[in-house]
Amino acid sequence: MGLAVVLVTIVALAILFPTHFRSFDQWNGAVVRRFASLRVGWLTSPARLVNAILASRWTIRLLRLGTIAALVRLRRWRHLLTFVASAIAVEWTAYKLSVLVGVTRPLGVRIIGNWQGYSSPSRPVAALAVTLVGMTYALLPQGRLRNRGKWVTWAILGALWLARVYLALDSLTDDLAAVVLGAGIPVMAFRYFTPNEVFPVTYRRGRAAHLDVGGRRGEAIRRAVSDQLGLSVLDVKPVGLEGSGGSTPLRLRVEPEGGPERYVFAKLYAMNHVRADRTYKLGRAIQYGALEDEAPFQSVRRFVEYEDYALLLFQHLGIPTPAPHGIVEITPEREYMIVMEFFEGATEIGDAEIGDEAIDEGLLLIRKLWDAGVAHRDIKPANLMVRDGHILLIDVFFAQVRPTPWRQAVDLANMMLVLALRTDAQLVYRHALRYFTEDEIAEAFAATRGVASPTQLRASLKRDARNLVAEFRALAPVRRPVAIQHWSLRRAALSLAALATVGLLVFGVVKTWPLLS
Amino acid sequence: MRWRVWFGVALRGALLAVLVAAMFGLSSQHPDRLACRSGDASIFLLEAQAVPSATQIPCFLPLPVGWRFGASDVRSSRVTASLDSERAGDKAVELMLSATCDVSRARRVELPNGPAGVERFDEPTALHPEASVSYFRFRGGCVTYRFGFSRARFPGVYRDADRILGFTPRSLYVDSLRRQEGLILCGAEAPPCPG
Repeated sequence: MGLAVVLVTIVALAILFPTHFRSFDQWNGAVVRRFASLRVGWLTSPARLVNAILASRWTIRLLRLGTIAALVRLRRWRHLLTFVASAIAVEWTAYKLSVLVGVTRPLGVRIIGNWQGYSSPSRPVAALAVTLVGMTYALLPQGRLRNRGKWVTWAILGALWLARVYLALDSLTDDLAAVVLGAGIPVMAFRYFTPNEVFPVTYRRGRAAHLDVGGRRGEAIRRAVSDQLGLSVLDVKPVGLEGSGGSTPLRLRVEPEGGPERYVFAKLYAMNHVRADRTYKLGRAIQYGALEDEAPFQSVRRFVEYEDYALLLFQHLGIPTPAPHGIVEITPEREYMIVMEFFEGATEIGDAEIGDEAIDEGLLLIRKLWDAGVAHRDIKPANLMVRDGHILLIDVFFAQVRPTPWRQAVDLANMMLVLALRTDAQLVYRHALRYFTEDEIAEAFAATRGVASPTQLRASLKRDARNLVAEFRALAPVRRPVAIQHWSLRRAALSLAALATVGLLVFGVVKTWPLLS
Repeated sequence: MRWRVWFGVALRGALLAVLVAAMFGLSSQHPDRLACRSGDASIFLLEAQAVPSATQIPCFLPLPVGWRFGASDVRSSRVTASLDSERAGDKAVELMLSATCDVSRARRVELPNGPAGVERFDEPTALHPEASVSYFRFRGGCVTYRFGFSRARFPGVYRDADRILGFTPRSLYVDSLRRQEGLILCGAEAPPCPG
């Protein structure tokens, strides 16, 4: 950042007060001539070779395409976007700056080799710098490997720098400016958009939304839980990562003062979860219109406050959900953790055997929610646990008070589908008639299509050989499907804005393509 | 808390606006255009560096109404630039400076008011029915001057285009640089350079 400010200041001063920079130019030229005075045959050939390889657009293309392919393969989309955006930003800025500043190639010395355009900042050096630095940050895990990558990057850039000054293709400061630009922009971009604490580069399996709970964050969690909840944390272990995308679920082994060791469940939220929530809700609003309350949360604090409230509400309604133990502040306004009861000995419904009692409990749970005017909105196998044959409900984060009848109907259909996955449609339907009318069940399956079911439930249904939705619809009275596409002024405006953004991006890529390729 | 959100949105909006303004603002400038009366000599010095043997540096005289500068590219051993015409379209005129050019199929044309030492050659119309190609040859260099339209189709545009090309002697830049900066513009009309 500091270097970038220095560079911008130098460029601004050079433009505003060109006469004051004459002596600087002369010094710059003298350095190149000093380098050129060292020219000998055995040194010139390798210098030309280094320049031919490292400054070649083909080398840059190959490196960039390789990195893009690797990031696509690793599904590291955020890193990919940052890598591409940094490359565009550097290429564009270097080109525009070079035209704006208008520095000729070194004067008073014979230039060896091919060049194009103005000299400062050196565009081939900037292109290589942004590519190598981007590769280091996008592909190498933080720590020893990335540090080594940085050293290799500096060595390669240093070699190109020496070669180009020796060949008088660039002045010393042309390359310096290029390195500041080519390294500064991607470093800032990666640090801002893919901070290592939130989006670590690892080659272990796991979701991007899950935070690393080792190192300094792990220590902060232990200290905060001890200070704020009075529980000594003996162990922190991520659990159920595959079923969660909106938070980092953890199992903590704790020891209360004077009490026996036990487990508690915790969900860690950070700013990236708030951003992901915003993007998710924006996407849904564009895709379907106002399906339900799509207003995003504005802060991490609101996230945990809301979940804490929802847990208390469910407890109050007599729904078997984890008892909340409190909110822990890890970093003010940035990271919070909600701690709750851990259902020891419980298994996910997808792995449990369920009987008539569990089916009734599941359906009764929905009936209670209907009667209380609350919807869970995320009924799926990962959120239903079974312990000693009894149903337990977890993850109430998406709960909504006074939801639309459509939303309540969907909760019922999703619960019936989850139960039927472990049993069969006829059995579940028969039990459902004890708590709901035929019309209510028909409405539930008329409302439940595609997006209405959580992704995990849809995937489970797809894997099942039976067509459970069709079976339920056949059992219930005929009912016209409920439309889930709703148009509003907001949806139209959002769609147009999204289209305009995509158009602008395509336009930007097309316009900058000659610079990039 | 609400004001924070709005502040964030406003800040991002302002940043985006500045970036977009900068993008279009910068791209609307053409400091790299080869205008003979440009106050900035850097583009001509760069041209002189691109083809160091050329004793004349080509440029465009003030453009008549209906013409505008197009793309330009200066690289070692070659300079290209184009002009867009409202009537004859983009790249109506293309200029290329190189060290040599093949004039074997062209015929020499008198250049009454041209700079000293510059010879003009025109390729026969039969070779390019929908275009027109001329060469301006001088010591150490040659300019290929191509119109993307025929004289018969746009006679007025052709007349304009034929008068736009100008030349500046390289020696002018060599002398000025030596006098003002004490530096050598390596190549023709200059003392030998080290390295």
